[in-house]
Amino acid sequence: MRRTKTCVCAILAAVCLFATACSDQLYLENAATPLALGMDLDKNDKFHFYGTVPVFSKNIRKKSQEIAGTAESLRQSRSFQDAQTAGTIQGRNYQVILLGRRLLQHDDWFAMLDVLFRDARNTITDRMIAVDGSVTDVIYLNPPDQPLLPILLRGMVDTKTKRSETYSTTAQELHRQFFDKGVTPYIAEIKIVNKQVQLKGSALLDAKGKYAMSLNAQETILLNLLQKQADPGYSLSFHIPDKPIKPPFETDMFSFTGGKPKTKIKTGYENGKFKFDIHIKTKIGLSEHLFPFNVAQDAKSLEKQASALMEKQIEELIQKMQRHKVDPIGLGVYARAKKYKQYIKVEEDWPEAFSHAEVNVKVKLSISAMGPVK
Amino acid sequence: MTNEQNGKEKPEPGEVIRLSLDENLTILRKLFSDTPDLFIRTFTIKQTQEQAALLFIDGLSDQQAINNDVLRPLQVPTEAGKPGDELMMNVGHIVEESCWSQIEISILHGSSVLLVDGRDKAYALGTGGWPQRAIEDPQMEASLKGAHQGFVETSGQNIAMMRRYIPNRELKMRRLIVGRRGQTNVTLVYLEDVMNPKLLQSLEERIQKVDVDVILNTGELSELIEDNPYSLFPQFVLTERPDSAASQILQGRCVVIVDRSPSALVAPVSFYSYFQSIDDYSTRWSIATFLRLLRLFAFITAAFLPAFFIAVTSFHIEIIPLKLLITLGDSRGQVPFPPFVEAIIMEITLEMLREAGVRLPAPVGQTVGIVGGIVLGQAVVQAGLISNVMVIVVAFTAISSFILPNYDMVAAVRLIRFILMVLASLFGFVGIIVGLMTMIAHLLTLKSLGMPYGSPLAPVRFADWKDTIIRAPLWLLNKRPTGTLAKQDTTQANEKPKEGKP
Repeated sequence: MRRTKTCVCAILAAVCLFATACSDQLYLENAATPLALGMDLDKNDKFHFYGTVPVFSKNIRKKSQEIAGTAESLRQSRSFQDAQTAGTIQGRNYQVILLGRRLLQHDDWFAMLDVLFRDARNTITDRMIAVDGSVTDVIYLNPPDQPLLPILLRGMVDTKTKRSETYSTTAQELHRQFFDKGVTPYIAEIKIVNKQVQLKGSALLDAKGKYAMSLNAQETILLNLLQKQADPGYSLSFHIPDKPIKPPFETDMFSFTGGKPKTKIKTGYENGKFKFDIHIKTKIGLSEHLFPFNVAQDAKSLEKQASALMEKQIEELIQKMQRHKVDPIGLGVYARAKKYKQYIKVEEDWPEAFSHAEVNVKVKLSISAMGPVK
Repeated sequence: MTNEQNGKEKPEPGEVIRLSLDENLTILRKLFSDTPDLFIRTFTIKQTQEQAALLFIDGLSDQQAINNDVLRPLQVPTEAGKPGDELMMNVGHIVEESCWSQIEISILHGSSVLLVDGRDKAYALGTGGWPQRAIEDPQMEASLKGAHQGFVETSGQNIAMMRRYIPNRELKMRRLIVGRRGQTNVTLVYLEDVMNPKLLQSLEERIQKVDVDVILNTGELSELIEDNPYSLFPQFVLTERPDSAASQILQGRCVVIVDRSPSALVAPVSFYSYFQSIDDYSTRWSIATFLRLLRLFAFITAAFLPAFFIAVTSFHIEIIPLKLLITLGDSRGQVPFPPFVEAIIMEITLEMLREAGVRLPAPVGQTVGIVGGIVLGQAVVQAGLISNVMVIVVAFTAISSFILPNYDMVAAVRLIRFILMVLASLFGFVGIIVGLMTMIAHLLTLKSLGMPYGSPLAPVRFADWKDTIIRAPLWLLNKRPTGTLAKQDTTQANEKPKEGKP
């Protein structure tokens, strides 16, 4: 009797197992996994979504399918997206999220991304990329000589981030930047030039997410240095003022590769203004100088010149950021840590306080390598 | 005395032989009716002028020995003796028996029995000589540097081979007879001053309890004395290598030799015993350690890889890295089956090929290899039935299971793999984790001869770790494993070898 009971129980348990399973099963080939998500506004400020779905078939030459449409919100758009593909749309494999310029010109677009964070199945490691122009152009570009757009963009952003020339800000990181009051968001920026995707550098957003300004590669590196994020291997170039120019070649160019930078930020508060002293100290290796120069003898003078030039560029950069009232360096975080009493008063509008702050920059470069040629 | 009167009944067990040879022979003919291979040779012993009969079974006894060492000395005319004298025979192994039951066993086990008229004892002569195989390289546990002798089907030879490794008088044996009809000799071989007596007693009791007709193989015995007969995991190591058996004895374990079976049973063992091979001790310790880790890794991949593949492709596509997603998608896109069906088809094909390869004779076996290689490797993918990646997964699983040194453990892994595949297809990673947890819990509760199967990791016995997952240098292995509760724990007192000077 007991044995029969055990058998019956086992069979029942097995049946229950089979019955409960399979509810959220989704085969790889049945899922449409858009790898890129685009968001933009059209001329009438109507919200548009875009997606690129890879097509898994050897017989179809075009490797991806583009989907687009208008909707009120991303999750609401899912049914429109589903309607355009063979599988069911899953937000689990987004590699990049493209944000159109028109969208970024409005405050509070960030709320549209809510579904990414609230539905835990959606990935939040997708790279946020601003598009200088319209997202449509990028999504439908499909260059024949390049890999799938999402792979191209993801690779572009990730590898250049290693050289500190842009930011691979993930959705999660962007979320942090939005909700940390001591810092304003910064993301990568691309542009279509001659039907080619080009990385512009980075885009700085203000505290509400509105587009403020763009930085090119060199400026992004300098910002990275200020943020203590620059990895060794970044490369900077300057015109040395007193060197001869032989047109059409600009022979006064001087480039170096930076080592591991030591950035020190001192925070103070004087005369109702915040005061930041930033010291950047790093070893550099010469990559090129187009003018004749005896580095072995006159290294010191070159170091001084380069330091001064770099200092000037950084100061200009900071002034520009102050004008636009953005603080991607996160100096607010330093102020909160060191001068909390004064900071808490201006916390709600830190970028404003930052724009009045006094920022002094000191750069000290020391040449440690000059290359194997004289 | 009813037997004597009607002369037809068989003797009761324990009944002794008569003095009269004729009576005895009548009884014997009754006992062994319809036994044409029993030879009865009657003759007169020249030495004592007594009537005698020699009984032996053709094929189980050595004809040469019987002719030259028994019949000839007894029939050569010598100095006159009187009846009852010690007989002249050139046989070393002579046992005097008087019970019918013992005589019967002696004859059936290949001894020849000499019955002499007027004596109340029969002589069982060790002239056994049955068909035997030459000692060969072990098939299942081939070794690169170890000895090339494997156990054979005669327990006496097997014990001798082990004794060659441990020529020590502390190497003791207990001989038990198992099986009502088979009367199989089962010998427990152990080191008296090392082996824990309680474990030995427990093993002996378990074997004594076995009540079967016949034990044909060590595997049958092991199944009858296991701690948990429902478990998928083997609980005793079966080895066909005398050197491994000797090494196990030295570690405080008991080796059970079953007559007529070429494998020896080792108890108690732990889960990690199945990942050790005798070559580990003859190669350098660093490579031995690497190999042991590799085997554990292979165990995990052999059990979990197909399940992992199913779970990923049917539940968790988000964890596939982008570039792999595209390759995987391309490869999966053309397959008409869901991942589970695809995996089951391939795994079953693999199991079939493996089974076919085992049973087929070597020349045909090659054909199976070629067919399998082409079917598994190419045609299935080209026909679009199975994806490339699945083929790789199955191949990797197969390779992983080939490097495990113990066949029984591989068999367990094969079954676990299928269970995990079903779980993965139903519940994804949750199913795999549930399977993993159940497996770990089961391994932890499992016992081998009452000793914990998970030792030395659970319960933790740090001292044994040196020779479990890793293989420490031999000069560090000065103690026997504590997992066997050995009476004597020090085996050696080596120090690190020093750099020498000429």
